[in-house]
Amino acid sequence: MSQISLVIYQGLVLGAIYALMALAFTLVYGALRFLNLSLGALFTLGAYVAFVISGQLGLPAIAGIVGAFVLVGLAGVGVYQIAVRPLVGRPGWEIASIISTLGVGIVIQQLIQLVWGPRNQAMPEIVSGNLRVGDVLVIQYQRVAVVLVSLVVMTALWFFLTRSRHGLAIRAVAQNRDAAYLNGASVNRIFMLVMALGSGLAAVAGVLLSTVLISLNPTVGLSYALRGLVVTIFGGLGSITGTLAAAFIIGLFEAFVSVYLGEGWKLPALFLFLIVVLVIRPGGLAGVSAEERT
Amino acid sequence: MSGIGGRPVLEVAGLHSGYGETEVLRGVSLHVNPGETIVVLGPNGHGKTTLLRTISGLIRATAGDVAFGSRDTRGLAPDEIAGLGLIHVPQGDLLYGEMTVLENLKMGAYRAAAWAELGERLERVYLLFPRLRERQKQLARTLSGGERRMLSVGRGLMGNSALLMLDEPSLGLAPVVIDELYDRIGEIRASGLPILLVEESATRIEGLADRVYLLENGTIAREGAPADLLADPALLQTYLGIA
Repeated sequence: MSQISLVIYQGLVLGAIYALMALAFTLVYGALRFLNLSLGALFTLGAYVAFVISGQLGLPAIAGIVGAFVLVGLAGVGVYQIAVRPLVGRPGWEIASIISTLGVGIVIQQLIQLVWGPRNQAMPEIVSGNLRVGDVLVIQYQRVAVVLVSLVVMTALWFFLTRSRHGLAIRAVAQNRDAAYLNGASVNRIFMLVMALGSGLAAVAGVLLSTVLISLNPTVGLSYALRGLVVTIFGGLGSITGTLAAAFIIGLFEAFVSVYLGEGWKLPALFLFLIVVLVIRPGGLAGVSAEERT
Repeated sequence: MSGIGGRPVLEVAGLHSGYGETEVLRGVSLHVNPGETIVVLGPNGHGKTTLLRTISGLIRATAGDVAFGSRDTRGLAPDEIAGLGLIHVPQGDLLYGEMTVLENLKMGAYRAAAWAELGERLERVYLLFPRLRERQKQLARTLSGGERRMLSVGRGLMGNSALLMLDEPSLGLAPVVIDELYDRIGEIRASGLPILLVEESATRIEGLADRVYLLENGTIAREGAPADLLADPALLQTYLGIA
């Protein structure tokens, strides 16, 4: 019983972080139809921005999160201008963009290493303190804060996408690019907005994860970008509700494996799980086919 | 009504356009005067859709001029052209299937100037198509064919429209539904908004069109009053397969 509660507790924290990371992938994929592989590096960059703001300058954690979202969002616009925009509309640009964003991601990761060095840095917690429940489960306020921040960000995103003019346009571009053009939406500007938003989300995910790990290094983004991708594909590329469900299922699954089988089984089990799911449901959880989405 | 009110709303001169190496339009010239409803008739595959897609900027013209009011729209992106008030209701509706009817309509008013009057515009469209008000919370993909077409036209009217281009509004609809839709188009015409409509069938254009162009093999084969063209059975038979 107590071990199950541990699985749920850890799973929810992981799920909250994976959800943000996967939403970043899914937003960009939904609108631009390519996997933005710079997001792993931008996830790390977000953590370092918060490290400077909260860890080195000593400002409150919220300033680190907001700062990471804004600055990395701008960096995402830069990635778009450098690595994506010159390719948009050319034959095979969706594939070419995967490679060019991966390249820019490697450059960003190396720049992070040049600026902050390869070693682990200590990342301050958002809040400290524990709440002991029973004999196994110790709830850290820090992890509760991570889940809360993630929920607040996702709620804000939901309001933005359903209530605001530009949010509506993001969904419109994802569903029918020509129609969005004819309604007067500048597809190029919507692409820029989507890249900024996706990068900002990845950055917040990076901050949250590093506050859980209480440390960060330049390569932290890689394995979490990988998990974000697993969640995105499992959820059904481009589907927001599918992505959210997938994030928490994967988070709980990973927590389950690490509690009952051990840490080393996490990644192999995760990919085995993904393969089985894709064999049964090739379209992922939401199972949206390419024809339905367009 | 033609000729009254000064310069044309839309003037297309010597327009060439196509897809890659394939040229579809080979020098199309036509114009729409203020308040006019113009119908371009032509068989399938002779360039009607390409004509509208080139005017609205979705396809880049290879040669020729398009003037909308006093603006030369060559080289402008489709969103800029839409912003000028040249509204294109495309073939096949191109709705946002996973968005509600209301959200589809709101996207029609995406430009800041139209968004500022969202409420009034919505009311106007709901007045014209009361069915859309009933369906406003439904996802667009759940609508019937006729409702989809109404939503597509309604979404176009949400914009700052100074000219409405309709691509085969009757396509794929039952005759009763087409009648109803054409009544609504008649109401839009009566409001004074100029319309450029393309159709394959000549059956419903009498009484609606001020002038008719026949588009054949990417060029304008004839122009005239609808009564003159419809009175020429040989011509209708040849170009449109209608007795």
